[in-house]
Amino acid sequence: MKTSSAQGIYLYCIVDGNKNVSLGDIGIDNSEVCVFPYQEISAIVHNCEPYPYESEDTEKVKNWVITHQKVVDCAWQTFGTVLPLAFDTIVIADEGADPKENMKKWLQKDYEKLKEKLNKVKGKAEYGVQVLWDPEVMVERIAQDTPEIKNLREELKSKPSGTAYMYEQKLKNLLKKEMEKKADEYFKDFYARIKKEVFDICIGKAKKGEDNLQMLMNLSCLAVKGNVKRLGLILEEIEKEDGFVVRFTGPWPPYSFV
Amino acid sequence: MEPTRDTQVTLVDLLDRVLDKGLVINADIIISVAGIPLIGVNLRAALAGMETMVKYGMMKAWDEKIRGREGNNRTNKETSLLQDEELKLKMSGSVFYAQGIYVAWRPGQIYLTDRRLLLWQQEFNEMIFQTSLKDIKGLTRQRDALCLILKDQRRVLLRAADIDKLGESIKEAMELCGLIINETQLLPEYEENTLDFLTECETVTHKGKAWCMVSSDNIWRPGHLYITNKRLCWWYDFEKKLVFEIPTEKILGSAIEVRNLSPVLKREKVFDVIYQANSERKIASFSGKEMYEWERAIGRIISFRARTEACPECGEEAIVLELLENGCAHCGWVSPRLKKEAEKIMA
Repeated sequence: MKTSSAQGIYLYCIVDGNKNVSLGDIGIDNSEVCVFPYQEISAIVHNCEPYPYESEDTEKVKNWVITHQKVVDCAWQTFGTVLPLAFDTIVIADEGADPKENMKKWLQKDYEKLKEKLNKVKGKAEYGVQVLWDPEVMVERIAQDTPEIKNLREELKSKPSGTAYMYEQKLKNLLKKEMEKKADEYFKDFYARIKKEVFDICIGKAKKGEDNLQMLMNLSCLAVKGNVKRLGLILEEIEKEDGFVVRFTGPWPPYSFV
Repeated sequence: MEPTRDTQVTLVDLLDRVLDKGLVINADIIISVAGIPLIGVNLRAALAGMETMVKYGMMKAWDEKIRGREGNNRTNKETSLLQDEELKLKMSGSVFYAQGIYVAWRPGQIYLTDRRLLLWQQEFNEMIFQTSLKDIKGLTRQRDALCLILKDQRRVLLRAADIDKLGESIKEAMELCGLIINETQLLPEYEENTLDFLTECETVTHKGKAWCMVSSDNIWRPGHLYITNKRLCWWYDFEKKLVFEIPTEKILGSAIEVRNLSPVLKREKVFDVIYQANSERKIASFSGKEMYEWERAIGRIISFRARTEACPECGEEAIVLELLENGCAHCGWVSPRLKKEAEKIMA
């Protein structure tokens, strides 16, 4: 009952090409990263134990994740096109079987689909675009631009505390509605302008913004790798508007488009 | 506007992608840890929290508080890292640290200068390990690592891209300082002593450092777990002997569970072995690194026990172990090995 020390195959990404090279000991825990070819494509892997990388140590996990990304980046540079996988995707096999068999079977079964995906993202990269706004600034603008709200505010100033409370509530509700309306309008507007400059967009969940900012939109865009000048210009225009902040990140391997 | 990928400001963006997205592959060939998320929600929040703090210039305060670094020079440049020392060697490597049950190899860049040896994590400007050369009392090569014995009796394990070269270079650097190092094994290799308890024909199939809690007294003791072809046994570090064992026939099953072990050790993974003891069912609990391997081993033991096969002579189904140990109950066939042993006894 001998146990082999490598019954798992850690997957980093799928690449276009089958150059059988070793990418070196750049993997998680300094593992040797190698190429697992299948016809015209390959998987970038390292041999590991058949259980996941888990830890409650934040530092450790952070390093693993950064290493995972570094390997994907290296593969991207070496092979040109990658289909990245999430961290901790490990192929195993049943008792006595070889995970390499499972790998082959999977690559064989999904071969056409994988080639199609590789084609779809060839020469492209993923860029993150997040638009945030400062609600305080936005509230002021809305208050000034919407006559109903502007008037209500004026009236509020002269009311005694009893009735003032009711006015305040009404004002709050109006503002909330207007904010939501504006958010929707801005979203649609920005989305349309951005869509024109990219091949594809994946809408993500708006996350908690930092520093009292609210996130309006969280997009992942598929665009030509290295050529996002026009997109950059649109984002600059957006940021020029008062109260808006844009976060533009990338180029990432196309995680959202595979 | 230009896109950025600076790790310091885009860690959350990276995490969102690397943890949640990517190519999906059919679940039956990959590991799934049912119900237990691979990266806990709290962990992700903690990682994200780090990134936010970086963004708001709180890095410095946070660094000093949590990482306990002295010297506030936060630049990435090697020159400031090394002050006015002469750099002798630089290579990537990692240092091993253990905090109770947690064990980890922390990676970084090893720098050997004419005065110090250090391990630096570039990504987040962190000094993972450092020592003055004069504090190194001993140096030994251990399997795949270099072991440094420091002045305060601390043992530090280092791995590197070229361990031999690192060892040689450290020795050289120390000699140049007029320092003497001890190259003998100051601490005995652990394994040699412990396998004496094995009986004839017994072989160890799995072993590993494991804390053990027997008889639910809630006391966890450090030691080593051994699974052999005859039994599961546990060696207690403090008494330096086997203090617990379960013959494989008595093992009923095993499971890995997440439990709170103590007010401090919360949500630890524990490996439970259920066994028969004097017509009672009991549980022994262990905690260590190779738990999944052990679970598989126990699983194999149990399924192997129940496995049946046809007797090569008469074709009657029988339990494999029975066939091998006692021969076929129907036709009297014995395996060649059993025959040889019988002959030996007769002779």
